[in-house]
Amino acid sequence: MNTLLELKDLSIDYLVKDGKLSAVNSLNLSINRGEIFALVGESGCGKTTVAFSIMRLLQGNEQTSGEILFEGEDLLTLEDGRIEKIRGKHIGMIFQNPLDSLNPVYTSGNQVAEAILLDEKDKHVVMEKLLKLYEDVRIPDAPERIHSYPHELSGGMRQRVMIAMMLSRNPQLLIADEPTTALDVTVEAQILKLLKELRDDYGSAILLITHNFGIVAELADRVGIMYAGELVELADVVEIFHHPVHPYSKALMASLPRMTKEEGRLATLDGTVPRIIGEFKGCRFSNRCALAQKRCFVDTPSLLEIRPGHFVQCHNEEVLRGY
Amino acid sequence: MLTYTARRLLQGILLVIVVSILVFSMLHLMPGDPVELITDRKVPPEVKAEMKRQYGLDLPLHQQYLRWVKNILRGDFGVSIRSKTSVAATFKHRIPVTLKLTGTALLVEFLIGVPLGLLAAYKKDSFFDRAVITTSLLFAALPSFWIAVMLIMVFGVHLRILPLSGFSSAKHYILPVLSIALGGIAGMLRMAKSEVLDVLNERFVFTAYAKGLDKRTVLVKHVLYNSIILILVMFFLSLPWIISGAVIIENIFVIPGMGGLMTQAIINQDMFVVQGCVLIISILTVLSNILADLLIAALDPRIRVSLSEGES
Amino acid sequence: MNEILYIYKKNRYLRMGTIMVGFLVLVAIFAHVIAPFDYDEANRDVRLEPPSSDHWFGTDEFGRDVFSRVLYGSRIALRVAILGVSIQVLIGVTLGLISGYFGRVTDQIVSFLADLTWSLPPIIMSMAVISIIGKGLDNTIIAISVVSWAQYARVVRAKTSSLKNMAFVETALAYNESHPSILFRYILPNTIPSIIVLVSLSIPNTIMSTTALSFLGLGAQPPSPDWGLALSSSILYLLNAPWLAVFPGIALVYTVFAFNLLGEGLRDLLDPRLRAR
Repeated sequence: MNTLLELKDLSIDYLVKDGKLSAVNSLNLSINRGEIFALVGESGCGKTTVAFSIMRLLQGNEQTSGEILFEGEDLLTLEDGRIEKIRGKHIGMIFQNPLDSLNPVYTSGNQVAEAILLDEKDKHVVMEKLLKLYEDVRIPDAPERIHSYPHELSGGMRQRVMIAMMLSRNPQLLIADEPTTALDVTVEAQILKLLKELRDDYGSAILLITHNFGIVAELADRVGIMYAGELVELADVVEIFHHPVHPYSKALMASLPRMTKEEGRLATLDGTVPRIIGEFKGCRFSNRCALAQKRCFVDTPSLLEIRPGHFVQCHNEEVLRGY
Repeated sequence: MLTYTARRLLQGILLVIVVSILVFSMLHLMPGDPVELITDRKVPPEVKAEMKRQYGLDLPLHQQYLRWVKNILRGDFGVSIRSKTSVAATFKHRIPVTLKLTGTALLVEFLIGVPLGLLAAYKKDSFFDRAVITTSLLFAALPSFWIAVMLIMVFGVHLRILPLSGFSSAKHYILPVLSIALGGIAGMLRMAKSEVLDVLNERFVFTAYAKGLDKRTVLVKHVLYNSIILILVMFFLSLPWIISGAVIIENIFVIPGMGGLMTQAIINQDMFVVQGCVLIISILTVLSNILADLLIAALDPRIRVSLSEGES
Repeated sequence: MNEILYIYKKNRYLRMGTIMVGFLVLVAIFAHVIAPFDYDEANRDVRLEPPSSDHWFGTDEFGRDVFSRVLYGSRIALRVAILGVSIQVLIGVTLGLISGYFGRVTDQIVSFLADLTWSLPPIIMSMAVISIIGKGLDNTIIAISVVSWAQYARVVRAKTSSLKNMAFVETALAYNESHPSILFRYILPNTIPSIIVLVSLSIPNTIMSTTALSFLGLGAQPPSPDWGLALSSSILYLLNAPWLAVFPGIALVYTVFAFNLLGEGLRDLLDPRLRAR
């Protein structure tokens, strides 16, 4: 079986004062072994919620329905003991802001070793592995860096420490939630390169969550575009860039600044992402869509495969055909 | 770390010196001639002049100050105007009593308040949490002397099971310590709870779970360990407040400590005693603040680094 | 206006707090109308009597009506609150503005003074001040205020120094506006929410501290109906006349609690806005 992770009709609602806030709605997607899957969308579209729900790290004030199948097992129904065994060992996660993600009172080496120690008891072997990991993630002066505290390391190095920590147990899937957003551009390039190498060397799949298309172009094999909690388009990376179909995807592509001689203003999209509480029927993008028809406000569209491997969620026949 | 300690101690010493100047000047800030305090109205002027010389009150102020400091450092706090006994000797008896009272109160507050706060954080929004918060808010609004009076009424007078004055046996400790501690427990509890909640929301806790650590390990190694730092600091910072409480409570329960001594001395305008008490209490306060700062620097590596680089 | 009413309705603490404090203020104002007796009206025939229809809260060791004394005591509490906090605000805010605005030397001096007043717990420090200026209710108010202004100075200083670098101040300076004018017209108004929050915290603290000092005999002197004073003299009669301790105590607790609620409500109201800034 090549499918590693499968999200089936995943819906997550946050329970707020006014009712149920829809964060994720009927999400269906799968990730294969060893592939880099990019989940793209603006802030607040639900992608981080998806990531946290896979790791079962949501706070508890939400309602989840659907299935998250990892190697066939539904993660949502596992009891605590089982999910703890899966976290780290089979699915790892690195977060956005590496300073916050590391405990300030323990050294970086201590924290990475903490992960290694879950699988390996021999202190010598742990130390060997630790040093090798630091080298693999290209942290210079590894024997000294092990004793550094997080605040003594630069942002790029902290993120490498995080990567080392999460890869130490060789998970089949690594979730990277906006891994380079808090880093500056040169460091970002290094980290991306690192991630790709690690995928090639270790064979882990990566669920890359980002809003940055540049990173998507660099790394991703397949791309899923999310809007207001729903998956509106899914295709491999070349398709998405050359033939975006969904009006939202097209708008995103159009708004990317390009290094061409053409001048003019950047294309923008009017309106804001809707905040959906309670029942909602219809397309969530309808209030901002230039091609919206009456149907779009009433019927909820479903994900259709318009070409092999290329899925779009839209009612509009022209849109679907106008390839 | 060493440089920080040295610097902090130096700051403390400076503060104590300034406080000592203020304490010294207390005698001279009062309206009228200081000699009038020491002597009766009926005393003839020649005797007054003699007393003035004896106490060095005819010297210029800065010399008086230095003389005073020299005496203090030798352990001579002067003589009580009222009782004519050595102030230092009285202190020798009284200070341990107050220390025992405040020490016990501090321990009680800490050992009850902190665990309750931790539990309330763990069981956030549960019945336990809300009950604990409401009760502690209630006690925080009750002045310690009223709690004392109520406790006396219930346990001392009507039920007659606990002694009401003196400090000779363990039983004598119960009511005074409770009077001081009940109000303070609320503060400790709230602080411990809010600290733990803050830490629980930190990203690194998610990282710890994401690594695959089990719940107990995460809670102890990451959450508890990080919260403890501020909680321990709070321990030292609450000492001055407990001393304040002790001063009042000692008066109610007729406990022979510094508090009772100081209050009486103020009423009697026994200045040397007042000066000595204020000086000692302020040194204790400065010390506990320094200890708190040093503790936090020792436990939190971030503070160590930023301070050694000269930032503060 | 509608916004204020809406907030008022939603915020339980604010509602309860305002009602309770309002009640207290009314009692204080109309004490002389409500109280059946004068606070120092002694009647040897009815000493240490338990609560009855004539004397709702009983009588004390001098035959004075406890109910009336408790009512008049509210005036003292309010006096303490108003006078005490006003002094603290006056000193603290002024010093805070000056040190935050002019910085450097003034800042060093004020910060040093502020740290100094923190070097001792407030009660101890005020006791020291009292030993110099003497006993009495107003003296305790002065003593406590001298010791407690630092919190205002600190908060106002922080706000001022962050505000003074903002564009509108530079603009005002470019237009040759004088420093005091800038302080009053622009900076001070921005510090007011923080000041209000602090005031809501100081009032109960000030009342508690001055009452404690009166309890010790350093504050209000007999025959004042001060609640602290009443509590301390009640200890002798706990066995025979517990009502002497219960009622003044409840009045004190009610007052502190009322201001605490009001404070909590005000903080809920103002804090989110503070944070949003």
